[in-house]
Amino acid sequence: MLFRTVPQPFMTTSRSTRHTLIRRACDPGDEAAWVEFDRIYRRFIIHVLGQMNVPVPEIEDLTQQILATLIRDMGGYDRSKAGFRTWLSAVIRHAAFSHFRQNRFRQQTLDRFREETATPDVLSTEAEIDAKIESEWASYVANLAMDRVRTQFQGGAIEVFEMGWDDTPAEEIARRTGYSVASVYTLRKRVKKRLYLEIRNLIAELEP
Amino acid sequence: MTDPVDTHAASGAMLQRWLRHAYEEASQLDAPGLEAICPSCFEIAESGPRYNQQEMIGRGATKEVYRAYDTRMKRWVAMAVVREDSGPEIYDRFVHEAWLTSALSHPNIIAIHDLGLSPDGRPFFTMDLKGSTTLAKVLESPDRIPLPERLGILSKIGDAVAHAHSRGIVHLDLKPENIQVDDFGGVLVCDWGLGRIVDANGAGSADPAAALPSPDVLRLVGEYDNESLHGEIRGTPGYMAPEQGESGRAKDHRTDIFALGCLLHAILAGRPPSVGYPASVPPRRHAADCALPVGLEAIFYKATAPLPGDRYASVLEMRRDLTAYVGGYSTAAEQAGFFREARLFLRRNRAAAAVSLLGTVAVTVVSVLLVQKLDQQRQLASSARAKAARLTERTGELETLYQTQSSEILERSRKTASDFAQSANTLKNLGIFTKPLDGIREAMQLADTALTLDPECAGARLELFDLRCHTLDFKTALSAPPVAGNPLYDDYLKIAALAPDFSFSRASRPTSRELAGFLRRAAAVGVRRAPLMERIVSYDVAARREAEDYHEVIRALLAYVNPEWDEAGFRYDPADQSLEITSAVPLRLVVPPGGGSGKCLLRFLPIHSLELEMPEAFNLYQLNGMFVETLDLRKCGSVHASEFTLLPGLRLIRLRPGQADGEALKHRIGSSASIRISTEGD
Repeated sequence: MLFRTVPQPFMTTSRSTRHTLIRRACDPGDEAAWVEFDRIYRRFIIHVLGQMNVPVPEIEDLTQQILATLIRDMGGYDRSKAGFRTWLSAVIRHAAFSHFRQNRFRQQTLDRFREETATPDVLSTEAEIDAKIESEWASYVANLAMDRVRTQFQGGAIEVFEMGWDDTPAEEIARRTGYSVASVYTLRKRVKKRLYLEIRNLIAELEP
Repeated sequence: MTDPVDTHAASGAMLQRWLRHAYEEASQLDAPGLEAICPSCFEIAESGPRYNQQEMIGRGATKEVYRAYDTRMKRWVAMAVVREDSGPEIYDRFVHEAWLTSALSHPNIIAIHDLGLSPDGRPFFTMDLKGSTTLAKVLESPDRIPLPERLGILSKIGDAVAHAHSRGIVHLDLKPENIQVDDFGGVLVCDWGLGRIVDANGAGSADPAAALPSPDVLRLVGEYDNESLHGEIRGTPGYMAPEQGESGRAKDHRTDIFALGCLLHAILAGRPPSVGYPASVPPRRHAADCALPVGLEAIFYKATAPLPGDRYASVLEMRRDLTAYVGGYSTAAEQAGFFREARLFLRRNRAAAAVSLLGTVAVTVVSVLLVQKLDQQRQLASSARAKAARLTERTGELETLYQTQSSEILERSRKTASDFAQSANTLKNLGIFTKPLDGIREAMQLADTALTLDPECAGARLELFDLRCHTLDFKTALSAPPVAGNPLYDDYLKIAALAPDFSFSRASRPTSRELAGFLRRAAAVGVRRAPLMERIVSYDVAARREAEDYHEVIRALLAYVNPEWDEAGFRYDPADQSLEITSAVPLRLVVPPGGGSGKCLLRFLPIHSLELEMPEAFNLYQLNGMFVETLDLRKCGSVHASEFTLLPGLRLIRLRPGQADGEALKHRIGSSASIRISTEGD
């Protein structure tokens, strides 16, 4: 079997009973949840703030501030009003903007962030910044999922899957790996299914 | 674990775009997302031809059968489609076949999976693709499978048909081509295209209403049944019951039973029977290569009786007979008699039966002998002869069997041999004076059989020795003498030693002189075995063809029995068959029963008139069994008869006046003539 199940804390609880990581982290008694929450969100926030060109010396303080805000406001988050990513983006953007407002280098900082986009004019809007953050979150979660998937397959399954990212034809992958074309299709389908399930699993855990 | 941030940083833009895309699809569950998460489920939602890779595997009059791949169920199926050149007239019939078949659920009935219309509007249905071949091909194959396996196939066909009958459905076209078989015992009854619904025959469910197919099927297939065109005959010659060949005659479950009978024939002979039409002619089996076992032949004839009422009432009944045959029991159809049942019993229990049979036969032989002792020896002899012959026939088989049996069986064999030896002795004793030739021959056969069973059987050896003494074959007798110690046989040995070269048989007898000489030598050595001597003479008289000077033998015999008697007192005139015996001592003319015959020794001679001269009182019973017309006892002492005396030809007794009570004497004599007692002088 190429597929191998690795025990994961997120995978072992059913949807009906599990409490999302973020909600558990709100519980002062659940220290493990808080550590895990801190690990995952901190990295993302640091990464996004970096993308927004927040100066490195300020990133740590700002990250700590955003994490505290997340924990504080999580109880008020209403899923019916906005998607979690939107809410998360808003929280991060709002914190960053507040920081920028307090920072005299705000404009030039924003200018630098804008230069890296195809449409600088649009980026100046809050919505575009939110979209950027949301996109980064999607990428972040998908990468986390992919990392998990990599631990669950043996042999050439991952290799075959990754070779398909750039739309290399199955026949070419088969030629390069020695698998039959049918096996290439099957392996790609299996890994893709696993990846999507892990993405959904992470969404369930990380997005209340 | 790789740091996702690092991964992110290191990955190309394309990869990140792809992963973001994956996130969107997985979270939004649009079609591509669903396809990735549950590709199998997504696949069955796709539209497209369900069956592909079709390859024709059969073609009938109205339909074609393909091997096809069911893309939805991911398996190969058989797909029946109405032929392109068939019109819509048969479309409904085809659909009804699918409905009818799917109303049946049985491991030996083809299962229908799907029913639909092809793109060009022709109906099709799909079904099991299991059998690798048909029964027809199996029967045609030169390497035919063994009979028990073929009967097993028939049994499964019977199960399927019985199930259909229990649901009120008949097949009406059972034949080897419609039976799929595989190498693993799979049997499927297919092609229910001629099937129809009849009333449940009561052979199935206790609740017929519950057993019947759904009302929709009943109604629609019922309509179809009425669609048969006038004069249309459906079925396959060779398997078609007479009622199928005649328009208007009712067809029911017994029509299928007829076909099952024909299938039985085909399974046994490789071809269907010659089915005669019109209905009054019963089917005949092909004699060429078909030696039907009795039980199966009876099943065949009963199943294929021309009149449905004469056939089995149900498939289950026929199946019971088949099961009985396979199990080695008699079938109801053959109406087996006792001997058939017995033979089947023996076949089922060969080893045990062989032993039991031997014991039973042995006991029977002895019992019959004892019972018939009260009757006549003739019946006994014939019964024993028959049994001896039968047992002799079985000797080879029994011997082989016994060599392979345990010591217990060997012990039983010895016991049986001993019983046979005893039977031989009894037979000899009973027959020696009435049917001496048959009695001795049959006793010898019994003793021989006993020795075949147990070559060490002492009783049989003694008996053979004894019998050879009776026939004066001392030479052979002395070649296998008994062990010394038994007074009787010690005496016999002495007697045999007097004439060790005697090797007489039924065909070759000693002359009267030789025999008389032997008797005199025996008397001289003083061995007193009067019964043996009487028996030797009894056998000799029956076996010899000429009796010249035989009175010398009788004279010597009398002298042997009466050692004190001077045999000069024996005067016989062969010309007028008169005998005159004078004795100074009381003469014994009878060797008493218990060895002897209890009859007068003079009976061996043809004697018309007998004159006795003895000083002592004379007991007429000494002449018991003698055939004499005139008896002169005037020179005897008083005359009386101690017991009822048989003198069948006696007409005249001469007595002295006052010598006896003549009338009383007459009443004690049995004769076919009227007896006159004369007290006059010469």
